[in-house]
Amino acid sequence: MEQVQDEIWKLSTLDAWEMVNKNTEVVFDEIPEPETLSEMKRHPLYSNIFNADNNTTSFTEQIETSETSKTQDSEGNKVDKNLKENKSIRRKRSIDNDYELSNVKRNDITSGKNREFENEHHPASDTSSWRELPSIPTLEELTSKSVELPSNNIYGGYKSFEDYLSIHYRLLREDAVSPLRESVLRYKVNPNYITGSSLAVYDHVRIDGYTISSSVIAAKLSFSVRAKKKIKWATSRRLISGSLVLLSNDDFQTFRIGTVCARPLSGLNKHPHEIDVKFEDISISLDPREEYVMIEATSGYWEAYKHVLRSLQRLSASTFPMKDYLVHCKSNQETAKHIQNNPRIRINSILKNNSQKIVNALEPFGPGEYILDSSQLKAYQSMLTKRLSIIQGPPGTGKSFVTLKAIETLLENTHSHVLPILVACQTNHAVDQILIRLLHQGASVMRLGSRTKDPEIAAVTIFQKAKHTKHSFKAAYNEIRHKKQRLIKQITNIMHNFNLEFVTLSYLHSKGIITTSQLESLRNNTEWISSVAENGEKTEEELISIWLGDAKVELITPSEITDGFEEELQIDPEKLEEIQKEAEDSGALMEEELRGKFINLRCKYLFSKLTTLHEKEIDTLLTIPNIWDIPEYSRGIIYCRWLESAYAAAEKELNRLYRFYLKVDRERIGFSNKRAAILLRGANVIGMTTTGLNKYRDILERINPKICFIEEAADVLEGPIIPAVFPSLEQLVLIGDHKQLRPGCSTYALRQDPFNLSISMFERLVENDMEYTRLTMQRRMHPQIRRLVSSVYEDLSDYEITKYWPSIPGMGEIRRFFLTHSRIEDNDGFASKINLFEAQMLVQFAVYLINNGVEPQKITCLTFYAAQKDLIERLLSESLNREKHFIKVATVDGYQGEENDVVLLSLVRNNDRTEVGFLSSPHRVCVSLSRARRGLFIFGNAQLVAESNPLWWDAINTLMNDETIQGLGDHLPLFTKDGTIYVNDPVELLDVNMRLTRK
Amino acid sequence: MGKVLLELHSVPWNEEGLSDNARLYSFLEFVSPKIEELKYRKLLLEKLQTHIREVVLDAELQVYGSMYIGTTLSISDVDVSLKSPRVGELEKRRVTMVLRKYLDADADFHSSARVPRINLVDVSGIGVDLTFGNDKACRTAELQKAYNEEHPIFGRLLMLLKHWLFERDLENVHHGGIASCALSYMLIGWLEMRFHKKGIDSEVQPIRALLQKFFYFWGVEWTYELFVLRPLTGQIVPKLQKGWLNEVQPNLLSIEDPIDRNNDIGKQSFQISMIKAAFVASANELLSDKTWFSTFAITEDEMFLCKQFENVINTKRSLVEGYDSDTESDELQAGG
Repeated sequence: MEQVQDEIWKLSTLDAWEMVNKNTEVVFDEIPEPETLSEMKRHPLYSNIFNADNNTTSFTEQIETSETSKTQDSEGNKVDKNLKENKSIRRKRSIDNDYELSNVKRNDITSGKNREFENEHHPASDTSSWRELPSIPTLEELTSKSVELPSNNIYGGYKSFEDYLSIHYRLLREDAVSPLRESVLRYKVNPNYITGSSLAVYDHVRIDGYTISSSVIAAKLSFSVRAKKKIKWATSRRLISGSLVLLSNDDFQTFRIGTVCARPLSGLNKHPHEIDVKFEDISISLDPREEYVMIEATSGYWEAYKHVLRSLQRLSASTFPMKDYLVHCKSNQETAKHIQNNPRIRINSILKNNSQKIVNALEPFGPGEYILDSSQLKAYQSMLTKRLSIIQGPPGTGKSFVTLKAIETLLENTHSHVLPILVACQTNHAVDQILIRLLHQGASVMRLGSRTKDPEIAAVTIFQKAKHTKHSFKAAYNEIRHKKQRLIKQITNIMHNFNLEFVTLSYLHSKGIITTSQLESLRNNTEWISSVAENGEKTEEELISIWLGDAKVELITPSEITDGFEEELQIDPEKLEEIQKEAEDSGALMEEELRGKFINLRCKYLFSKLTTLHEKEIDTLLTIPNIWDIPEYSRGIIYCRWLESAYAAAEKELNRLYRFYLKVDRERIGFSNKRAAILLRGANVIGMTTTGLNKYRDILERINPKICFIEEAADVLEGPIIPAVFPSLEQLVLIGDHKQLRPGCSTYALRQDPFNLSISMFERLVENDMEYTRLTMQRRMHPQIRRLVSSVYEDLSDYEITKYWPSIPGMGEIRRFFLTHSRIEDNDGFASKINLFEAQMLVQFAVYLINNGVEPQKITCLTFYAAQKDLIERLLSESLNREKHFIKVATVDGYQGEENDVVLLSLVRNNDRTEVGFLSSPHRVCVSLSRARRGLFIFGNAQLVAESNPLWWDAINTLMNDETIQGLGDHLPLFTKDGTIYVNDPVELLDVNMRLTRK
Repeated sequence: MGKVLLELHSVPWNEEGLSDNARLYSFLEFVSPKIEELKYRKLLLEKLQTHIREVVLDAELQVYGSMYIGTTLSISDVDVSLKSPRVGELEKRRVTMVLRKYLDADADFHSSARVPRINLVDVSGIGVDLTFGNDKACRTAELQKAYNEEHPIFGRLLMLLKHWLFERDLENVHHGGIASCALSYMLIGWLEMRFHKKGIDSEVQPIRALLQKFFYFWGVEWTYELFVLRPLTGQIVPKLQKGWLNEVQPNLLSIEDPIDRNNDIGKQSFQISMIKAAFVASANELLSDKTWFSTFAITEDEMFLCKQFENVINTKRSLVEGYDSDTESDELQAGG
């Protein structure tokens, strides 16, 4: 056998050699027979090529199978039952499509009529134009006093896809725009407004120069803050990058919109402060003496909406795959295509002891040794098979775990054509967690988005990968770079003329603004100056300075009179970082930060405008050939006139170049997207945040994703999820819990009926009787604690192990307790509330627990109000030394998805007006009660809260009716070595603590 | 693979009751330049000539490429060669300066390219590719023009295929696409091999079937590692025999240049496997009766070009009215 092969091998080499030598050409008239081909391939030069990959054959196979299925289909001999069903569904869908089309046409006609009618009253609310709206708010949007918004009926689906999109687009846009609009209106009402909770005002804003970096031309603004208190910039929410600012020099009759693109702390801590802003109106203004007022809306963050809005505008009905479910709310019975074709799968990843098993994914799994419980198994199956799979995971039921297992199974079974799988989570942290676990399983993982701290994840970010592939598209990149450099050079050349304190007369002359005699007169008439001054020849700039004389006035930015530090606009440093990270990498492969050539335009002098001249006077003065003949008091005005025309001419040229520059930059982004897409195609799993999903949609769409997992889907607005339904998507998995926190939006009014913006897609689908799977076995809470939320999750049962969570030292068998009291709450001076008694009690209790041997990192202090959180943090640092760093203090809104052994919950609200604020939101209550593993201790007014909300009522009833273990009382029972002590005062607790530490 | 494929609501080729052929032809008509566009292109050439004559006094230009063959699309570049006189490096640079001054501030001179060339984009978005004494290209164009006159189906298919490449961003050889010259020879070679050599009339075939077969041939049947195409005779030559096997990238496309037998036209397409995948995808797509037409679409880029062209024409009109709409439209583009 070997011999024969050997001979063929020799023969073909010989043949080839002969062919070349004899110069007798071998030419085929058709593609040769397979035998000839395989012989050709056997040539030694080809040996390692054809053994390495079998690309060609796999392609052939692919097309052959598709052809054979087609022939079977047409012959009708062996048509599978599945196939038949599939076909009928397809036909049905096509009918639906037709129906929808005709519907749309009809709608168009009617809306057209309406439009004519509406135009007279509300030109802004043109329903069909939403797709053309620019990515920044328009002047009309920001100045109109009333807006007309579509109502959003969450029950029973939408009229059409267009309707669905436009409703969500317009509501989302309104949510983004309204804080800005309100700021403008508020400023107009009271231009002396001093910063409040939603509007920040900055005075003396001047353009100090431009930074020309390789991706953006940003203006450096200097400004002073209008505030009573000093600002801690490092942790302030003010002017974070990505937020919008409005600049105006005419009290907001007109204004310019800019995006903050860098806020270096070194610049902010100077006086006057400095930030870098990119103007969205794409024009460059050069006058450094022009003074603006700048306002900023401190609630709402434009960057977070921008990408979603853009993605929504680009969706089209014909390429949107899940219309039936999302728009028409039809029941989600269909199976995903890839599993339909290939239902037999291996499920090793959920089996115990490494056994192998192949099952039909479309039928119920038989009995076996699974590491999942029965509800998890159902959820798992639904994730693998359903086109639209909805999983509700109550607290602690292990939804991330099931997700992970499902992804593992998909990776193990599916063919490469359904890969890569997209995984989106709310936070960067959550994405990294899942990716790390998959990485350890050996999956090829890629992280899309900001640079992360985790070194393992950092190695698989697209930035990192991109570094290794710098060479692809090198030619194109170089071309773009050259173009850019040329443009930058042209721009800087123009700007340099304005770099000096005074723009020279020679420049003005070269632009034809002043006459030759005027230019010459400056120097010709200055013998007297040079004779007076010792150092001979003066520069032109100095001469102008002398010429202007008293007409120039020194420019001063008044200092701020402040007292104390600003508290209300503070933000967690971590959160700030998170937001900034999202904002920074606007292009997927933007490697450079805001570095570039800085051109300083700042100047020291203004021009006196004390005297006013008549237009005619000015005209005559402008033509005086000897400029020293112009009276000194009017020289400032004249010089200003010259400058104005110089600025106008230069700005026109600059704006032209700037547009070219942006065009080139768009090209660059196009290439980097292309490059990123090529890189991403190599991955099996791509992880990103939900914001990232929209931000990188252009790239992701190129790789035709088939499967998309969205975690915490109930905590995201509907708008950001719609674009995740890519045209190529076969399977969408939504995981979340609509009983926990709803997504937030900046405008309170939009949360409510009829807009229902805060209803997530997840909740809407569940409310419309979509089939969903609920996980029912919780592994977090001790049964005592779980009973408090049993009215929310009726069928929630406890995993065996939770019954054996150890009890809390010093608390006997009590694992949950409600200390009820009636100490009145306080106002922190702003919108937030505090309750000093509760804070003190909480802190002393935490100390007591630590003294009894509870590790500090296992304790979390949870509260509903941000001000209370700060108070608790302060008290903690006063009464504890080392341990204070380990105790986590959080607000309920910031703690969803997390858990800890012991949770101390401060309800804060306590008043005689029965106002409970946040406490009445069942979603928040549900989250707050379900965070603790071993112990939950609540401090508040039981009677007040019980009447506020049925959920509290049920929880408190459960506590009161427990006969065996006390759950509610106005004294907190402590089980010390000296017996049970009852306390209801921080001082008593302090006493107990003192005694404990003394021992 | 493709970019955002835009949807146009009532396009002529989506009308009901059209036969496959009629649909494709109506699409073709839609993407071919209109009369005023062709006029504008002529005008552009004249402008080019006058500007170049400022530097090279007796310059004579020769059009080649799609405009010469008669397969111009709205998206096509203008390919033009400075036929005489022969000019040196310095003159070429001076020509570049002149063109930068008058036509496009971004005109690029690629001095180190195999064929030195000046690339520029006119305000209308039409790209111009100016080469110097590029006789080979002119002869190629002549050859293809003659072929087109003999087999008109070639031109129609070529236009559709060029548009197909443009949709998928594969039209630029430097970015991993395929050169239109290589594409036309691929088409000629295939037509010869499968039809003309066998005596089958390609003109009467349904055009959709032709496209499908073409894609199938280049996506599946062709063994890139082994074959070199000899286009005019529709023959296959082993790569080894030509000595054109690139061991680093064995699967490069190889096409023997009919004008210079030692020149390989196809080897520049370094991402041929990607293109091949696109061929396979389209071959599959064209088989399905329901979705076959999604193989062709108007892309955002093309819309953009069209808009730009319209802007140019409108500016001329609005200049008469004393209103400057140019800056405004630029703003719109940049903002959107």
